[in-house]
Amino acid sequence: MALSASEIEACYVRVERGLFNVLYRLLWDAPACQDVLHDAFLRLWSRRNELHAGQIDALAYTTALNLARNRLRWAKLRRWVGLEVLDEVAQLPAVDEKRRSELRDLRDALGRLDAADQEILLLSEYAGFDTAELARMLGIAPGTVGSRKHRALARLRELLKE
Amino acid sequence: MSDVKGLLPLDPPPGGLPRLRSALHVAEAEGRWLPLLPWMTAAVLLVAILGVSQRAGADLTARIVEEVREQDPGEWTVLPGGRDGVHIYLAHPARAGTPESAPPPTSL
Repeated sequence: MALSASEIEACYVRVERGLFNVLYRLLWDAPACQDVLHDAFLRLWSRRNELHAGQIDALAYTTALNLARNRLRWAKLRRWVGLEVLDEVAQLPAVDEKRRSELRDLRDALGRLDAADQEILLLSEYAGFDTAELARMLGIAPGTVGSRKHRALARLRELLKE
Repeated sequence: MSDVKGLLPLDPPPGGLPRLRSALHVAEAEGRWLPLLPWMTAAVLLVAILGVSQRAGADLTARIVEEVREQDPGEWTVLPGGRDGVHIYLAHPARAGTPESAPPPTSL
């Protein structure tokens, strides 16, 4: 059963805020996050004949995360060859200086975590999936989700205190 | 939700849904005509090839007729209806040795 445009749009409304927050803590660039979000949904749309409504929220997250990882790889390469400099916490509307400073600290601390720990922390913080769903998305055992999240959060707090 | 301040959720930039909606419309329209692209390309190529080959044939015909006219000083009346530099002639050949002036064969 193919997905309709209204089902795709309803999914977008459900996941936009959570997914944007996950992506923002990975890419630190609001317009880039929106591009990734839209690209992910266009990919879902192009595969609408193979999908059903029950699976698209998780699939939107995994697709967007894959796209974000690709972007990060390219950004790393561009920085390495000197085409891009690591920006300040970029282009976020309506954020005061105190908030900006908190985000800057978080970016530095998150950057010192493993990529897998970052993702598990951000997904469990914003995505609203249960442990079993997160385990399926990340391809790990359900028991590992809780322990890794706990470990990542403890390490993040430690780094933020430094 | 943790108490880490930097993790407090942010609002996404406004206008995300309308932008997605228009992107889906564009993707849907592209999905309709994109599969036809190979056929459309083939049709355009076919028309172009036919046009070129017809033009080449017309050029050759015109050159042959003009060559015959140069060789034959008889009377040539231009008839209406020619195009692209190709004229239609009504020929009144006068050259000796043409089938009209040649004596009939006396024996096989």
